[in-house]
Amino acid sequence: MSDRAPLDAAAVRHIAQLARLGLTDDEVRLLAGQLTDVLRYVEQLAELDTTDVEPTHAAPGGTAWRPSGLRLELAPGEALAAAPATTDGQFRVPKVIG
Amino acid sequence: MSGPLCEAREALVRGERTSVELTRACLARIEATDERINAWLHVDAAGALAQAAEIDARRARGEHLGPLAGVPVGLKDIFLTRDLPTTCGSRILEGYRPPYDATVVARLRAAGAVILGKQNMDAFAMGSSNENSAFGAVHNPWGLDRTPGGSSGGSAAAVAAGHCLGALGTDTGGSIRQPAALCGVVGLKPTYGRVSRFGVIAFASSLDQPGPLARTVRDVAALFEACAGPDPHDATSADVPLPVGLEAMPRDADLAGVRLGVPAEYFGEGLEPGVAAATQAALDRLRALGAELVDVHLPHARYGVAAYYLVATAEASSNLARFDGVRYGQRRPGADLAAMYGATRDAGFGLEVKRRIMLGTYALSAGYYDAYYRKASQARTLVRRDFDDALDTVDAIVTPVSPTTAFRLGERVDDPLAMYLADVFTIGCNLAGLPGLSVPCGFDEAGLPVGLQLIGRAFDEATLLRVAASYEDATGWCGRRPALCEEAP
Repeated sequence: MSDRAPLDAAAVRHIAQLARLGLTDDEVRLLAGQLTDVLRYVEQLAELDTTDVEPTHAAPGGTAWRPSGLRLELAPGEALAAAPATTDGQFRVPKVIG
Repeated sequence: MSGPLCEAREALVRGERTSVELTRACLARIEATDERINAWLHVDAAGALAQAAEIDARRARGEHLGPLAGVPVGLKDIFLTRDLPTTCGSRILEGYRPPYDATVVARLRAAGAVILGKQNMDAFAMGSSNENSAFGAVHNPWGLDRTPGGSSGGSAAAVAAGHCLGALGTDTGGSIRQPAALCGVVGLKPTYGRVSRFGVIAFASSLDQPGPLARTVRDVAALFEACAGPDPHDATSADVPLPVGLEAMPRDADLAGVRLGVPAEYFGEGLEPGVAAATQAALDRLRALGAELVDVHLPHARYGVAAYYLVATAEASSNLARFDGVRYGQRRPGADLAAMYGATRDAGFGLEVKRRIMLGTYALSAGYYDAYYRKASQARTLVRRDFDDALDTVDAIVTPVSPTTAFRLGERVDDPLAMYLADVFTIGCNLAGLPGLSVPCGFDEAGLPVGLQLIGRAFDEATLLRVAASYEDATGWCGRRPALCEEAP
């Protein structure tokens, strides 16, 4: 990981696009520097020999099982009450396809 | 010492106080000092007094009441509350009223607790100073120019200032323990899976864990008992028997037969002298109480922060995708759906949240997943094994909570990496899924509180509470209050 170039503005804009964040130019400049600092710090992980080490994705104990069928009962009106825009009992969004 | 929450509960049962009186007293203290502290985002005075009056009426009728009946508490604004606004400290949820209660909120209500309102926090629980709240920083009651810590800084400050008898926070990398230490109160991060996460706005789902903050260990134990236990709505909540009657731990118990591990890795450079001195004195006191102190080693501890800031941000980048301006929260207009998402999220999220979403998205993106996310998840395994090995030989591990006492507001806002390093001693617990407790252990030369951390085996919160209660009984640090509490009312 050690030879990687610092994040430039184009890379920051690409990640922002993946994350659906519409960043301002000032934010792009600021984040390019700060994210580069953090990435340089985390590169110390490369020192670790992780051959044959299983990744931990959750705490030990695993996932609990239960019979299916449990559900949260929300009336349609309750589920829609906090939406910025609704129409005919549905969430309303800007057009997706031209 | 018993603690104001347990004492209030006894006074209520004996009929010496009413819940309305206790609730009015809390509301009066909030009124008197919260303009300076900013611990609360929403105070529900009318609702709290109505709940209190109902509990008093039910008690007068001789009805059976829950274990926290009539006790006023606060909630970090990360918990969904059906009748109260929930912002998670972010503009993107301004005005949001959830349609249901988090499981822990429902449990507190069932136990009879009076919910005073919602407490300030770093937006989406991302921060160690509370300066990432969209609604203004919280000020530490021990020094108003200081941070209360974060992200549960509003909860810790409110408990320290006597605004409430206890509070619920969440801890993903230290967000209960670090503010508890910086505000001189007790905080417990339970074992991952001990307390339901259902209805708790998710930051990093494999690390997040709700838990209590209160003035004393026994008060924390009473809240923990009321909230913990399996929940069919949370597939990661564990069905492990919970000890009962924890708050009734014997007074002034010695620690004979208890083995406590002291890891050299947590006592090295970077520790402020005042923190080092208070922690060393605490170790001496624990030994005097009969505990055996044993050297243990956590050789991968120094990789914890790096692993954490990849794992936590990766999970956050995925969890926070739900804030899209469609189903709840604020929306900014855009010509098409993608433009609406971008505008909404840019306007609604603060800079720290954006920074972490960006880092996490990068760590998960094509070409970088193995080098960053997978590598960090493997490092997490190494950190976890260190703790498992150490806890094979000792009952609990003792460390400082934070390398520093409460730093000045503004001091680290321009240096995110320095801020991340504030969590260096607390992150390990979360990576390993283990319980951790912060208990006051003295003050530095500036009069700011220092916290001692106890880390235990999975689902063995009882040992942490027992050791901390014994230490607390022997020292009385929990009895100290900030000067601001001496003001009327």
